[in-house]
Amino acid sequence: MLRQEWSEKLGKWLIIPIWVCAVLVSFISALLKADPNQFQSPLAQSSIRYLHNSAWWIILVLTVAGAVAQLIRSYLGPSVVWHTVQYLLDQYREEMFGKGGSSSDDPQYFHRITLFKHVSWHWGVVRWPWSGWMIPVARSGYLTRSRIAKFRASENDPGNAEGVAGQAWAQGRPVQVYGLPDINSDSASENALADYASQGYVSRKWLERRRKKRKSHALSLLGIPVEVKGRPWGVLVVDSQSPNEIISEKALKGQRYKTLGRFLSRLLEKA
Amino acid sequence: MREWLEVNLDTEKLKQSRKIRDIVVELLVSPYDVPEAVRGFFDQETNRFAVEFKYMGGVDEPGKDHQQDRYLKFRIGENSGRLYRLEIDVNALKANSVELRMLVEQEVSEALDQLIQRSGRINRQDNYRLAKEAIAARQDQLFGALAQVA
Repeated sequence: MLRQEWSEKLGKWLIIPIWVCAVLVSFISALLKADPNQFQSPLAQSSIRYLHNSAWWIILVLTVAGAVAQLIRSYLGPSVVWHTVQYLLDQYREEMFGKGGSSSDDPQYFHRITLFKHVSWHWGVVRWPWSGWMIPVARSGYLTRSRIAKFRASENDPGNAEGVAGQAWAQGRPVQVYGLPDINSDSASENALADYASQGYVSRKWLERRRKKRKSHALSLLGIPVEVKGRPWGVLVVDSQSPNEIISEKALKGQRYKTLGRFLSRLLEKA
Repeated sequence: MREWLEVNLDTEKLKQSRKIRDIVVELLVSPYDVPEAVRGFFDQETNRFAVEFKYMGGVDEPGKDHQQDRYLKFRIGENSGRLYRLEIDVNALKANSVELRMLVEQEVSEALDQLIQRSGRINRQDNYRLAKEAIAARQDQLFGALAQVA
Protein backbone atom coordinates (compact mmCIF):
# COMPACT_ATOMS: atom_id res chain seq x y z
CA MET A 1 0.00 0.00 0.00
CA LEU A 2 1.24 3.51 -0.76
CA ARG A 3 2.31 5.80 2.08
CA GLN A 4 -0.49 8.09 0.90
CA GLU A 5 -3.08 5.35 1.59
CA TRP A 6 -1.57 4.33 4.92
CA SER A 7 -1.70 7.93 6.02
CA GLU A 8 -5.35 8.27 5.03
CA LYS A 9 -6.49 4.95 6.46
CA LEU A 10 -4.34 4.57 9.57
CA GLY A 11 -3.16 8.11 10.36
CA LYS A 12 -6.53 9.43 11.51
CA TRP A 13 -7.12 6.43 13.84
CA LEU A 14 -3.71 6.70 15.49
CA ILE A 15 -4.81 9.88 17.25
CA ILE A 16 -7.09 7.70 19.45
CA PRO A 17 -4.34 5.63 21.19
CA ILE A 18 -2.26 8.80 21.58
CA TRP A 19 -5.09 10.54 23.48
CA VAL A 20 -6.06 7.42 25.45
CA CYS A 21 -2.46 6.92 26.62
CA ALA A 22 -2.11 10.60 27.57
CA VAL A 23 -5.37 10.62 29.56
CA LEU A 24 -4.56 7.33 31.34
CA VAL A 25 -1.07 8.49 32.30
CA SER A 26 -2.53 11.71 33.79
CA PHE A 27 -5.27 9.76 35.61
CA ILE A 28 -2.88 7.18 37.09
CA SER A 29 -0.39 9.89 38.11
CA ALA A 30 -3.20 11.72 39.94
CA LEU A 31 -4.30 8.53 41.71
CA LEU A 32 -0.79 7.98 43.05
CA LYS A 33 -1.47 10.81 45.52
CA ALA A 34 -4.68 9.19 46.74
CA ASP A 35 -4.76 7.34 50.11
CA PRO A 36 -6.51 3.94 49.69
CA ASN A 37 -7.84 4.12 53.27
CA GLN A 38 -9.91 7.19 52.39
CA PHE A 39 -12.15 4.99 50.21
CA GLN A 40 -14.85 2.82 51.75
CA SER A 41 -15.27 0.39 48.87
CA PRO A 42 -12.86 -2.58 49.19
CA LEU A 43 -12.68 -2.74 45.36
CA ALA A 44 -11.54 0.90 45.14
CA GLN A 45 -9.01 0.32 47.95
CA SER A 46 -7.50 -2.75 46.27
CA SER A 47 -7.47 -1.04 42.84
CA ILE A 48 -5.61 1.99 44.21
CA ARG A 49 -3.13 -0.25 46.07
CA TYR A 50 -2.58 -2.20 42.86
CA LEU A 51 -1.94 1.05 40.97
CA HIS A 52 0.47 2.24 43.68
CA ASN A 53 2.48 -0.95 43.24
CA SER A 54 2.26 -1.20 39.45
CA ALA A 55 2.12 2.45 38.35
CA TRP A 56 5.82 2.52 37.42
CA TRP A 57 5.48 -0.01 34.62
CA ILE A 58 1.92 0.94 33.55
CA ILE A 59 2.99 4.57 33.05
CA LEU A 60 6.10 3.39 31.24
CA VAL A 61 4.12 1.12 28.88
CA LEU A 62 1.49 3.78 28.16
CA THR A 63 4.14 6.43 27.49
CA VAL A 64 6.01 4.14 25.11
CA ALA A 65 2.76 3.10 23.36
CA GLY A 66 1.72 6.75 22.93
CA ALA A 67 5.16 7.68 21.62
CA VAL A 68 5.16 4.77 19.13
CA ALA A 69 1.71 5.76 17.85
CA GLN A 70 2.93 9.35 17.44
CA LEU A 71 6.10 8.16 15.68
CA ILE A 72 4.09 6.09 13.20
CA ARG A 73 1.78 9.06 12.62
CA SER A 74 4.74 11.36 11.93
CA TYR A 75 6.33 8.72 9.68
CA LEU A 76 3.16 8.45 7.58
CA GLY A 77 2.81 12.23 7.33
CA PRO A 78 -0.38 14.30 7.52
CA SER A 79 -3.11 12.95 5.23
CA VAL A 80 -3.90 16.48 4.01
CA VAL A 81 -0.37 16.64 2.57
CA TRP A 82 -0.88 13.37 0.70
CA HIS A 83 -4.29 14.52 -0.60
CA THR A 84 -2.61 17.60 -2.04
CA VAL A 85 0.27 15.56 -3.50
CA GLN A 86 -2.28 13.25 -5.16
CA TYR A 87 -4.13 16.24 -6.60
CA LEU A 88 -0.90 17.71 -7.99
CA LEU A 89 0.12 14.39 -9.56
CA ASP A 90 -3.31 14.03 -11.17
CA GLN A 91 -3.14 17.56 -12.56
CA TYR A 92 0.36 17.00 -13.90
CA ARG A 93 -0.69 13.73 -15.53
CA GLU A 94 -3.67 15.49 -17.07
CA GLU A 95 -1.42 18.13 -18.63
CA MET A 96 0.99 15.55 -20.02
CA PHE A 97 -1.41 12.95 -21.34
CA GLY A 98 -4.95 14.18 -21.04
CA LYS A 99 -5.11 17.20 -23.29
CA GLY A 100 -6.18 16.56 -26.82
CA GLY A 101 -3.14 14.49 -27.84
CA SER A 102 -3.25 10.91 -29.11
CA SER A 103 -3.03 9.60 -25.53
CA SER A 104 -6.06 11.48 -24.21
CA ASP A 105 -8.40 8.54 -24.97
CA ASP A 106 -6.13 5.93 -23.37
CA PRO A 107 -7.08 4.42 -20.02
CA GLN A 108 -5.55 6.28 -17.07
CA TYR A 109 -3.27 3.43 -16.09
CA PHE A 110 -1.54 3.52 -19.52
CA HIS A 111 0.26 6.68 -18.46
CA ARG A 112 1.07 7.18 -14.80
CA ILE A 113 3.13 9.36 -12.51
CA THR A 114 4.57 7.81 -9.38
CA LEU A 115 6.38 9.58 -6.58
CA PHE A 116 9.22 7.57 -5.03
CA LYS A 117 10.96 8.47 -1.79
CA HIS A 118 14.52 7.50 -1.04
CA VAL A 119 14.82 5.75 2.32
CA SER A 120 17.89 4.27 3.92
CA TRP A 121 15.96 1.35 5.42
CA HIS A 122 13.16 -0.53 3.70
CA TRP A 123 10.64 -2.19 6.02
CA GLY A 124 9.81 -5.31 4.06
CA VAL A 125 10.91 -8.80 3.19
CA VAL A 126 13.77 -7.90 0.88
CA ARG A 127 17.43 -8.62 0.57
CA TRP A 128 19.62 -5.84 1.99
CA PRO A 129 16.81 -3.79 3.61
CA TRP A 130 19.46 -1.40 4.97
CA SER A 131 21.08 -0.59 1.62
CA GLY A 132 18.89 2.36 0.52
CA TRP A 133 15.68 2.06 -1.48
CA MET A 134 13.33 4.02 -3.67
CA ILE A 135 9.87 3.27 -2.33
CA PRO A 136 6.60 4.43 -3.95
CA VAL A 137 4.66 6.88 -1.78
CA ALA A 138 2.03 8.31 -4.13
CA ARG A 139 0.67 7.64 -7.61
CA SER A 140 -1.63 9.48 -10.00
CA GLY A 141 -5.08 8.07 -10.73
CA TYR A 142 -6.97 5.45 -8.74
CA LEU A 143 -5.82 2.24 -10.41
CA THR A 144 -2.68 0.04 -10.13
CA ARG A 145 -1.87 1.46 -6.70
CA SER A 146 -0.81 -1.69 -4.93
CA ARG A 147 2.31 -3.84 -5.26
CA ILE A 148 4.24 -1.08 -7.00
CA ALA A 149 7.87 -1.95 -7.64
CA LYS A 150 10.57 -0.76 -5.23
CA PHE A 151 14.12 -0.20 -6.39
CA ARG A 152 17.43 -0.55 -4.62
CA ALA A 153 19.40 2.70 -4.59
CA SER A 154 22.42 2.59 -2.34
CA GLU A 155 24.25 5.77 -1.36
CA ASN A 156 27.48 3.76 -1.35
CA ASP A 157 26.91 2.14 -4.72
CA PRO A 158 24.99 4.72 -6.81
CA GLY A 159 26.22 3.33 -10.14
CA ASN A 160 24.24 0.16 -9.53
CA ALA A 161 21.03 1.91 -8.50
CA GLU A 162 18.10 -0.01 -9.95
CA GLY A 163 15.38 1.23 -12.27
CA VAL A 164 14.97 4.66 -13.78
CA ALA A 165 13.90 5.84 -10.31
CA GLY A 166 17.21 4.70 -8.81
CA GLN A 167 19.29 6.11 -11.66
CA ALA A 168 17.57 9.52 -11.62
CA TRP A 169 18.17 9.69 -7.88
CA ALA A 170 21.81 8.66 -8.26
CA GLN A 171 22.52 11.04 -11.16
CA GLY A 172 20.64 13.98 -9.62
CA ARG A 173 19.32 14.71 -13.14
CA PRO A 174 16.28 13.67 -15.11
CA VAL A 175 16.85 10.33 -16.87
CA GLN A 176 14.80 9.44 -19.93
CA VAL A 177 14.45 5.97 -21.40
CA TYR A 178 12.29 5.78 -24.52
CA GLY A 179 11.45 3.07 -27.02
CA LEU A 180 11.76 0.08 -24.69
CA PRO A 181 10.87 -3.24 -26.31
CA ASP A 182 7.29 -4.40 -25.78
CA ILE A 183 7.48 -7.38 -23.43
CA ASN A 184 3.85 -7.36 -22.36
CA SER A 185 2.90 -10.34 -24.54
CA ASP A 186 3.70 -13.94 -23.61
CA SER A 187 5.64 -14.33 -26.81
CA ALA A 188 8.27 -11.69 -25.95
CA SER A 189 11.65 -12.92 -27.17
CA GLU A 190 14.67 -13.54 -24.97
CA ASN A 191 16.49 -10.67 -26.69
CA ALA A 192 13.63 -8.29 -25.97
CA LEU A 193 13.66 -9.29 -22.30
CA ALA A 194 17.42 -8.83 -22.07
CA ASP A 195 17.20 -5.41 -23.77
CA TYR A 196 14.38 -4.31 -21.51
CA ALA A 197 16.27 -5.34 -18.39
CA SER A 198 19.47 -3.55 -19.37
CA GLN A 199 17.80 -0.38 -20.67
CA GLY A 200 15.50 -0.20 -17.66
CA TYR A 201 18.34 -0.87 -15.15
CA VAL A 202 16.64 -3.91 -13.66
CA SER A 203 17.70 -7.52 -13.41
CA ARG A 204 16.29 -10.36 -15.54
CA LYS A 205 15.16 -12.08 -12.35
CA TRP A 206 13.17 -9.02 -11.30
CA LEU A 207 11.59 -8.82 -14.74
CA GLU A 208 10.67 -12.51 -14.73
CA ARG A 209 9.01 -12.19 -11.34
CA ARG A 210 6.87 -9.29 -12.54
CA ARG A 211 5.95 -11.06 -15.76
CA LYS A 212 4.76 -14.06 -13.75
CA LYS A 213 2.49 -11.71 -11.80
CA ARG A 214 1.14 -10.38 -15.13
CA LYS A 215 2.31 -6.85 -14.40
CA SER A 216 2.36 -4.48 -17.36
CA HIS A 217 5.64 -2.94 -18.45
CA ALA A 218 6.08 0.63 -19.63
CA LEU A 219 7.55 1.37 -23.04
CA SER A 220 8.93 4.74 -22.03
CA LEU A 221 10.03 6.19 -18.71
CA LEU A 222 11.20 9.52 -17.39
CA GLY A 223 12.69 9.89 -13.91
CA ILE A 224 12.78 13.42 -12.47
CA PRO A 225 14.64 14.05 -9.19
CA VAL A 226 12.71 15.74 -6.39
CA GLU A 227 14.50 17.94 -3.87
CA VAL A 228 13.51 19.31 -0.49
CA LYS A 229 15.56 22.24 0.83
CA GLY A 230 18.23 21.53 -1.77
CA ARG A 231 18.63 17.88 -0.72
CA PRO A 232 17.68 14.93 -2.90
CA TRP A 233 14.39 13.58 -1.49
CA GLY A 234 13.14 11.18 -4.16
CA VAL A 235 12.10 10.89 -7.77
CA LEU A 236 8.98 11.37 -9.87
CA VAL A 237 8.68 8.61 -12.43
CA VAL A 238 6.50 9.17 -15.48
CA ASP A 239 5.75 5.87 -17.23
CA SER A 240 3.80 5.22 -20.38
CA GLN A 241 2.59 2.20 -22.33
CA SER A 242 3.29 4.20 -25.46
CA PRO A 243 6.88 4.38 -26.79
CA ASN A 244 6.85 8.10 -27.53
CA GLU A 245 4.17 9.85 -25.51
CA ILE A 246 6.52 11.28 -22.89
CA ILE A 247 8.04 14.47 -24.21
CA SER A 248 10.70 15.68 -21.80
CA GLU A 249 10.41 19.29 -22.93
CA LYS A 250 6.70 19.27 -22.18
CA ALA A 251 7.23 17.31 -18.99
CA LEU A 252 9.82 19.67 -17.50
CA LYS A 253 8.98 23.06 -18.95
CA GLY A 254 5.20 23.14 -18.66
CA GLN A 255 3.59 25.48 -16.16
CA ARG A 256 1.99 22.55 -14.31
CA TYR A 257 5.39 20.98 -13.72
CA LYS A 258 6.72 24.22 -12.27
CA THR A 259 3.70 24.42 -9.98
CA LEU A 260 4.09 20.77 -9.05
CA GLY A 261 7.81 21.11 -8.34
CA ARG A 262 7.33 24.26 -6.29
CA PHE A 263 4.53 22.83 -4.15
CA LEU A 264 6.01 19.34 -3.84
CA SER A 265 9.22 20.70 -2.34
CA ARG A 266 7.20 22.57 0.28
CA LEU A 267 4.69 19.79 0.98
CA LEU A 268 7.23 17.02 1.28
CA GLU A 269 9.01 18.86 4.10
CA LYS A 270 6.10 17.59 6.20
CA ALA A 271 5.89 14.09 4.74
CA MET B 1 15.22 47.42 -8.83
CA ARG B 2 14.02 44.61 -6.61
CA GLU B 3 11.52 43.04 -8.98
CA TRP B 4 12.34 39.62 -10.31
CA LEU B 5 13.06 39.46 -14.03
CA GLU B 6 11.89 36.18 -15.50
CA VAL B 7 14.27 34.28 -17.76
CA ASN B 8 13.53 31.42 -20.12
CA LEU B 9 16.81 29.59 -20.61
CA ASP B 10 17.54 26.95 -23.18
CA THR B 11 18.74 23.82 -21.39
CA GLU B 12 18.84 21.58 -24.47
CA LYS B 13 22.53 22.19 -25.09
CA LEU B 14 23.36 21.01 -21.57
CA LYS B 15 21.79 17.59 -22.21
CA GLN B 16 24.32 14.83 -21.81
CA SER B 17 24.62 11.34 -23.15
CA ARG B 18 26.27 9.19 -20.54
CA LYS B 19 27.08 5.50 -20.45
CA ILE B 20 25.59 3.94 -17.35
CA ARG B 21 26.11 0.20 -16.97
CA ASP B 22 26.95 -0.13 -20.67
CA ILE B 23 23.78 1.64 -21.74
CA VAL B 24 23.94 5.12 -23.24
CA VAL B 25 21.30 7.23 -21.60
CA GLU B 26 20.27 10.83 -22.08
CA LEU B 27 20.54 12.94 -18.94
CA LEU B 28 18.73 16.26 -18.81
CA VAL B 29 19.49 19.28 -16.67
CA SER B 30 17.82 19.14 -13.28
CA PRO B 31 14.91 21.61 -13.32
CA TYR B 32 15.98 22.67 -9.82
CA ASP B 33 19.25 23.99 -11.31
CA VAL B 34 17.61 26.30 -13.86
CA PRO B 35 17.14 29.91 -12.68
CA GLU B 36 13.57 31.04 -13.25
CA ALA B 37 14.24 34.69 -12.52
CA VAL B 38 17.05 37.06 -11.66
CA ARG B 39 17.28 40.51 -10.09
CA GLY B 40 19.96 43.09 -9.45
CA PHE B 41 19.97 45.91 -6.92
CA PHE B 42 22.17 48.00 -4.67
CA ASP B 43 21.86 46.56 -1.17
CA GLN B 44 21.93 49.46 1.30
CA GLU B 45 22.61 47.11 4.25
CA THR B 46 25.79 45.62 2.85
CA ASN B 47 26.66 48.61 0.70
CA ARG B 48 27.17 46.24 -2.21
CA PHE B 49 25.59 45.60 -5.57
CA ALA B 50 23.77 42.23 -5.47
CA VAL B 51 22.47 39.85 -8.11
CA GLU B 52 20.04 37.15 -6.92
CA PHE B 53 18.66 34.03 -8.59
CA LYS B 54 15.29 32.42 -8.06
CA TYR B 55 14.73 28.70 -8.57
CA MET B 56 11.81 26.32 -8.73
CA GLY B 57 12.61 24.88 -5.30
CA GLY B 58 12.34 28.32 -3.65
CA VAL B 59 14.86 29.79 -1.23
CA ASP B 60 14.28 27.52 1.77
CA GLU B 61 17.77 26.12 1.57
CA PRO B 62 20.33 27.62 3.96
CA GLY B 63 23.20 29.34 2.17
CA LYS B 64 26.90 29.79 2.84
CA ASP B 65 28.90 32.85 1.81
CA HIS B 66 32.15 32.37 -0.11
CA GLN B 67 34.53 35.26 -0.69
CA GLN B 68 35.72 34.92 -4.28
CA ASP B 69 38.20 37.81 -4.24
CA ARG B 70 38.39 41.21 -2.57
CA TYR B 71 35.45 42.49 -4.59
CA LEU B 72 33.07 39.60 -4.99
CA LYS B 73 31.18 37.21 -2.73
CA PHE B 74 28.92 34.26 -3.64
CA ARG B 75 26.09 32.77 -1.63
CA ILE B 76 25.94 29.07 -2.37
CA GLY B 77 23.27 26.62 -1.20
CA GLU B 78 24.61 24.56 1.69
CA ASN B 79 23.03 21.31 0.49
CA SER B 80 22.83 21.71 -3.25
CA GLY B 81 25.82 23.96 -4.01
CA ARG B 82 23.48 26.07 -6.17
CA LEU B 83 24.28 29.76 -6.74
CA TYR B 84 21.70 31.95 -5.00
CA ARG B 85 23.33 35.35 -4.81
CA LEU B 86 26.46 37.24 -5.71
CA GLU B 87 27.55 40.52 -4.19
CA ILE B 88 30.08 42.95 -5.52
CA ASP B 89 31.77 45.76 -3.60
CA VAL B 90 31.36 48.54 -6.14
CA ASN B 91 33.06 51.12 -3.93
CA ALA B 92 36.21 49.01 -3.73
CA LEU B 93 36.38 48.93 -7.54
CA LYS B 94 37.04 52.67 -7.40
CA ALA B 95 35.71 53.22 -10.88
CA ASN B 96 34.07 56.28 -12.34
CA SER B 97 30.49 56.20 -13.58
CA VAL B 98 31.53 55.38 -17.15
CA GLU B 99 33.75 52.45 -16.23
CA LEU B 100 31.70 51.02 -13.37
CA ARG B 101 29.14 49.00 -15.31
CA MET B 102 31.78 47.55 -17.61
CA LEU B 103 34.01 46.61 -14.68
CA VAL B 104 31.19 44.99 -12.74
CA GLU B 105 30.05 42.96 -15.75
CA GLN B 106 33.61 41.82 -16.37
CA GLU B 107 34.21 40.92 -12.71
CA VAL B 108 30.96 38.93 -12.50
CA SER B 109 31.63 37.09 -15.76
CA GLU B 110 35.18 36.15 -14.78
CA ALA B 111 34.14 35.08 -11.29
CA LEU B 112 31.43 32.80 -12.69
CA ASP B 113 33.91 31.29 -15.16
CA GLN B 114 36.23 30.51 -12.27
CA LEU B 115 33.36 29.02 -10.30
CA ILE B 116 32.51 26.75 -13.26
CA GLN B 117 36.12 25.65 -13.62
CA ARG B 118 36.58 25.03 -9.90
CA SER B 119 33.45 22.94 -9.54
CA GLY B 120 34.07 19.23 -9.88
CA ARG B 121 30.42 18.28 -10.08
CA ILE B 122 28.79 18.43 -13.51
CA ASN B 123 25.39 19.31 -12.10
CA ARG B 124 26.87 22.36 -10.34
CA GLN B 125 28.71 23.45 -13.47
CA ASP B 126 25.38 23.41 -15.29
CA ASN B 127 23.84 25.61 -12.62
CA TYR B 128 26.69 28.16 -12.79
CA ARG B 129 26.56 28.20 -16.60
CA LEU B 130 22.82 28.81 -16.48
CA ALA B 131 23.27 31.54 -13.87
CA LYS B 132 25.74 33.23 -16.23
CA GLU B 133 23.25 32.92 -19.08
CA ALA B 134 20.48 34.35 -16.91
CA ILE B 135 22.64 37.42 -16.23
CA ALA B 136 23.49 37.77 -19.93
CA ALA B 137 19.80 37.53 -20.87
CA ARG B 138 18.88 40.40 -18.56
CA GLN B 139 22.11 42.36 -18.29
CA ASP B 140 20.70 45.72 -19.36
CA GLN B 141 17.99 45.68 -16.69
CA LEU B 142 20.25 44.13 -14.06
CA PHE B 143 23.23 46.40 -14.39
CA GLY B 144 21.10 49.44 -15.20
CA ALA B 145 20.73 49.84 -11.43
CA LEU B 146 24.46 50.63 -11.27
CA ALA B 147 23.83 54.02 -12.84
CA GLN B 148 22.21 55.14 -9.58
CA VAL B 149 25.22 53.93 -7.56
CA ALA B 150 27.70 55.74 -9.75
